Amino acid sequence: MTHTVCTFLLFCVLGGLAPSLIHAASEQDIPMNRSSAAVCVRSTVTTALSYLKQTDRRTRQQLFERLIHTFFDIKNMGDYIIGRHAENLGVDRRSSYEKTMTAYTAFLYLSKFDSYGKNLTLSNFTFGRAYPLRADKPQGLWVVKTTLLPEGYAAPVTLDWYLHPQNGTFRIIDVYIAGISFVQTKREEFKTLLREGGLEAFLQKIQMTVSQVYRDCGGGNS
Amino acid sequence: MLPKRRYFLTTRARVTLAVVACIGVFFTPAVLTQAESDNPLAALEAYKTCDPIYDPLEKWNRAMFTLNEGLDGWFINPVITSTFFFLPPLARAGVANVFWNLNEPATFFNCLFQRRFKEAGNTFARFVVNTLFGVLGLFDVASKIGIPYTSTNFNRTLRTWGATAGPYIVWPILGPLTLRDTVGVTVDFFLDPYNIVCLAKGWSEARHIKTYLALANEKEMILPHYEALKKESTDPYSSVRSVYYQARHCDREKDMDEGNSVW
Repeated sequence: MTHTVCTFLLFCVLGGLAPSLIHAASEQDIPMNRSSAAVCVRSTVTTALSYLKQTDRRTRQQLFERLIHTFFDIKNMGDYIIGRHAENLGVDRRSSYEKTMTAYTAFLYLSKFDSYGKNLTLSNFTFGRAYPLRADKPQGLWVVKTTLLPEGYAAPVTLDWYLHPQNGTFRIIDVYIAGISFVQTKREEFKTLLREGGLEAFLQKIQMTVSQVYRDCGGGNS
Repeated sequence: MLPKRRYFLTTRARVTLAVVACIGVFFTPAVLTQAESDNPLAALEAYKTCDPIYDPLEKWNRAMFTLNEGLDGWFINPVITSTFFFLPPLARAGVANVFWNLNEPATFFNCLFQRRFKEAGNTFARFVVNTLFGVLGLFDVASKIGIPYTSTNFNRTLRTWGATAGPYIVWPILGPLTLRDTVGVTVDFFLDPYNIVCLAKGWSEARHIKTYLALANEKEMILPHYEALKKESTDPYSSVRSVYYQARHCDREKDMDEGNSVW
């Protein structure tokens, strides 16, 4: 009888601990500390600045698409922008949508960086601080605050990078440039189009924009 | 005859093991799902501290937006661009500094209204230093010696007091403002010492010149970004509305205070 009780208790303990142990193991793979969050942003910035040195527009666009693919969580960003319509994408359209969104996001960030002038590669990025958006929940969102001091530009520009841990690394899900969020702005922008024309109209529109970007890039050097 | 096989576990223990394992299997996905289902953008949405967009006058607002775009393109932007074209960059910075300095008393009172006493002290110090040592605010000496600039207004004060933003309104010429922001801008106008002196002395021309230069200065600063935003957007009205709300009706810094930081 004692043996049975002991066995029962042992399995109860093991059974009870199992979820926590598995959860802890999965968390251990993810380096959720401020230095790794800062490293992720620093790598993104360094890579972006090196890509900006390219003068050929098509190459720049391609390199920025690679950057977005490597460092950004385009799936979640894309889903957030179209809201509940994401459920109706399906497998085929999802893959094509993510590809289009990558190109579209690359184009928008490129034009945003270009608006700060040609000397951006000479400019300074200073790193402020990195911290979880909620101190009690470090496995959630992280913010890395940076400041951009564009060469020959009057005021510094703040860039706040929102990251979340995914598959053992951090992925960027939003960048606030001077306090303005990319995904929030795009979500509002497409709301009317999605409401009036539905998902098809939206996909068509974004595809047209990207095709236009590629046509413009094909023109040659900037 | 084969010896009777001795099992380490009794039948009852094995049943117990099966039951416990089932319970474990049942609960494990629940915990993992909780970790995995932490949709980062849903979380971002939850932390969003912006006032929700409330646009019951959208048809009217879109019409006013189109009107303002026409006025900007054909009249206001060319006038502003030509005004600032003749000013060298240093003089432009000086003009901006003067307006920022004139705005400091309003910022000071708003900091007090919001019980942000440290920022109120900094703002007061900035005003004194820049007025006395910065040639009436032409040079931003305060920033050079490390007195930080605080940006706030009566709209933010009303928000602190619990007033809702009210409907979004696109005013002719003035552009987008919520009802609360409209009240805020009006009150801030009367907290500006230059405006008070001009009103008291009846110097309407001086007041109009200052209003024009202040608006032109603000517009000139945002013009390249505004044009880029419109150019990239499939629905410029919605994009401008979103950016306006993020710029004037969010309180992101409140989330990012030192209390939440682990740096």
